[in-house]
Amino acid sequence: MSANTVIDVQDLRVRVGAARIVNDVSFKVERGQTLGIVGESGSGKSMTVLAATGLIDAPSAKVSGTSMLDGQNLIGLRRSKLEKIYGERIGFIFQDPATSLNPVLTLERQLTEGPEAHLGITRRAARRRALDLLEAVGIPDPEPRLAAYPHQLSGGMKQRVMIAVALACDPALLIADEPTTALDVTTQAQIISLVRSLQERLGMGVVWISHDLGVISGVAEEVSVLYGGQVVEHTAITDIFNNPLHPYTQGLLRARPYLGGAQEELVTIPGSPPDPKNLPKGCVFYDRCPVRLDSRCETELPPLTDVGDGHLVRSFCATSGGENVRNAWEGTRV
Amino acid sequence: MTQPPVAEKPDRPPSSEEAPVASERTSAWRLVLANKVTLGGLVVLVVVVLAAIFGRWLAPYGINDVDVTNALAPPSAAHWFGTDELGRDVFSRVLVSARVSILVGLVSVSFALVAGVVVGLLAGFFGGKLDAIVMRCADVLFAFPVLLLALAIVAVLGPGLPTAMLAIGIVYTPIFARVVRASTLGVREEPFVKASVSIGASSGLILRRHILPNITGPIIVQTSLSLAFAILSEAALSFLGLGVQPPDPSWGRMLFDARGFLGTAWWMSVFPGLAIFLTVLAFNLVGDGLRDVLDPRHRTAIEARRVK
Amino acid sequence: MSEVRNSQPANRDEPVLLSVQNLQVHFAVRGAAGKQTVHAVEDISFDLKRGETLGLVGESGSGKSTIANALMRLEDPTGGRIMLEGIDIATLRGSDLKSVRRRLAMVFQDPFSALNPRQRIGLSIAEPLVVHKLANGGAERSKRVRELLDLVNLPAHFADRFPHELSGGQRQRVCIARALAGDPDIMILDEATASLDVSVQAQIMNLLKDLQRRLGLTYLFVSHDLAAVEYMSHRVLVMYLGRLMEISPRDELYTQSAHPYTRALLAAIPLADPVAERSRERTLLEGEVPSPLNPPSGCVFRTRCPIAVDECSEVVPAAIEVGEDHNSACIRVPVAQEL
Repeated sequence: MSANTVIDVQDLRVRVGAARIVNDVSFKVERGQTLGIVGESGSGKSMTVLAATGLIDAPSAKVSGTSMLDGQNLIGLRRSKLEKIYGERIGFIFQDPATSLNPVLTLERQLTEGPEAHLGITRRAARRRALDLLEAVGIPDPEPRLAAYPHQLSGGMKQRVMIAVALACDPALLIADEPTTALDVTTQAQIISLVRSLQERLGMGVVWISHDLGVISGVAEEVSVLYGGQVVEHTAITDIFNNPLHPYTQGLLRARPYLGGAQEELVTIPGSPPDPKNLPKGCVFYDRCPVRLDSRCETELPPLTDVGDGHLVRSFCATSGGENVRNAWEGTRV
Repeated sequence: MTQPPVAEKPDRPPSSEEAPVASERTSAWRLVLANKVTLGGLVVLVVVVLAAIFGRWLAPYGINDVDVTNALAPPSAAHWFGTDELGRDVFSRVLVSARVSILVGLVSVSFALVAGVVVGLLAGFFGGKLDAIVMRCADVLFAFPVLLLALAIVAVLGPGLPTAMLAIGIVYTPIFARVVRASTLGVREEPFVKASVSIGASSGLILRRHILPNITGPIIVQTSLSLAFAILSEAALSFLGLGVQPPDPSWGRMLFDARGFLGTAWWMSVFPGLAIFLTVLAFNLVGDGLRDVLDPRHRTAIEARRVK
Repeated sequence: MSEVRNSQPANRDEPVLLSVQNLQVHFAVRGAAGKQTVHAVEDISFDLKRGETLGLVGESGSGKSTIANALMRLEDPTGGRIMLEGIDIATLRGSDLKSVRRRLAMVFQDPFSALNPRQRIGLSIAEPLVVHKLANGGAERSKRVRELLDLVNLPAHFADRFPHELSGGQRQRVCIARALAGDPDIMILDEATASLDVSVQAQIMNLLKDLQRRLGLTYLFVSHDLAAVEYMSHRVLVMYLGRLMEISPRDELYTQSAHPYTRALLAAIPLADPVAERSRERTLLEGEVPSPLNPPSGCVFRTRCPIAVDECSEVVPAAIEVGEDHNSACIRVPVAQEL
């Protein structure tokens, strides 16, 4: 583990009853770097990050694997220790800013609570810090806002405050779980550029979860595509757009309209994602795959293979053939 | 590596989309029965209902068989619950009285149910002036203590079982109206109701097809709880001498008759009291159980627990 | 693969089916400051031609869903006219309104709540048939339901299922089948793909296009997603704070927009190309959408507009013609085109 690694997750698994939600997911985030995690609903993307940060403690969920942050394994760590880490080392921003802020506390309380407890600074110092933070996240005229309650702010403002709360103790890692999904496009663009500029200044590592490859293209250096609780492809952000190898990634890219691409037909991926209680024996994408090479795809789980330059892909199509799967969706019914 | 021929590609229309594993929802009844407490309540209710139906023939003695030589006898093999001041068998009278309690419960709650559902549905769905007027009336009815209101109605109409039932029904109508109105207000805003309006459906169709089926949960729960309270109210009215008239027995009436013998013949009050207590408790337990099963959020939790 | 559909200008010569003229929708709200008026839709005019798709784009609070609801008469317009082949449907009541509701059908955003959870799919789909008495007897009705299910690529036995047994995409197909049951002329698609997963979104959009071609339907495609609107529409109307900003044939809007708001919206959308995305120069809009309780005077966009001048606060800009079928409500069109 290099000195720059913020979090190193290996072989993460989450089981809830018979459901296999997360299956052998590994990832690493370096300082100043952003990892994008992309997947549709049910792909296990949120559960992966919740489990990796020790946030899953339901008795019915079984989490295994390791998640190292500052030499400590977060999985199975005591609640009291985790709470200290959340304040100091990991910040979170969630999809819905309306419910992530406490409605009965003023912004000042929510912004000073963490630093007072974790950094051991005085109330006055914490207040000054809160003002700096609000200014840093682009809230104009922050002084009177400290006394405001969350409901007095618009959605975009709330998300800015959430970011301020998440960054209050200068964390090493920022977890952003669909932070712009509930926002309008113009606000989304503001939040993305805000997080990027804060990252340049503060140098934290970021894990950005999204269902939208377009958003990820603007924020991440590397991206992991999740499907059926597995990483099906992982590579540099430019590679995922220019040279996607997994049929699912290829389909996902062509299933969504992008600006300027109006004349092209969208690819239709048939069916729906697999049931985590009943994952296919072989490749998780087998049921919906337009290629399906041979019986191996049905019976054998493809390994996550490095095809060069750290481009990982979990598919026999990409690792044993080559040419034939540059566009798995060519000629399918649209 | 062979090139996969295009023709072999799974040219499936999107309809091959599999349904998410056909919901493994256990039937509501099985969930109710799996809860031991609810099941206990249900068993008690079945016994009470059987007593109400067959009590007359099962009773070892006639309810008005006077045997003065054997008055105020404590429980024994011949008289399981002892005898009262006229030598009547308390067990037989408790058994037969189940009929009155169940009858009062069913009739009065049915009245309240029908009236309350109609009023609540219309008020909740149409809103506006109708809603304001109806709900203010309900507030007025609510402001009176339940028993006082029932007393007033009985005082006007004269004592007796039919008036007691009517009085209890009137008293519980606003409770149903409120519950139904609140649920209707919630369902009315659902997009599927909006969709139905956009299709051009009439209000009657919307109420019948979309609103009513989606508020049955709270109505069932309210019904079971009201049955318990109605039985209590009947006991209270009869205790005050305003319900069942002598010599017919009811649990409340028996308590009324036993009030002079609390020190000398405890069995005269304890057994009818116990009957009321158990029946009311049973209705409450079953009501709670039904609410848990019919509320989707509770239900998911119950199912999750069962899976574990 | 790239079979070109919706190639424009497909429908310039088609007759106008629905004409919205100076539509206004205000709501009264009671708040802390007493009774106030929400200016949800203000002076909106547009035509829908037979067989075309008009995209209606805007951010939250722009009034686009209010327009959808007003056309369906789920909200009552407070001004203006909605002419459906010569009849003003803005003020119809009773049976006249009911017959209009057969000709316009709506598909809602959330397929999970748009279907009655206690009712089988078949019964939901048959509702328009029952309401408008379009089928004689149960046999004909179930035959129609089977045909409708087939039209949206669902198997006939789905008629006996309950909504919770279906996936989101399947439910949205059911909602589309229900909307088609009355054989409408116009379908209003209110964020109909917004709550679906990317791969399912594509299925639904392709299905909608397919149905339009086969049945000659006219769509009003309401969405916040400019890329989806580009994919679906022939023409696009952009709204902001209840007012029309720009209306134009699709390709012109996306390449030669003549309004600063449209340009800002387009600039805010992430590109599917990380290199271009990071290197592109763009002006992000500052601030927030003002409250519709108290919209700015003059041009409603002026408070966030990068090219606003003093004059913008004085007059409400009229939609001026900047190209064929292309109107922009901006007094500085030449400057906007340089943005």
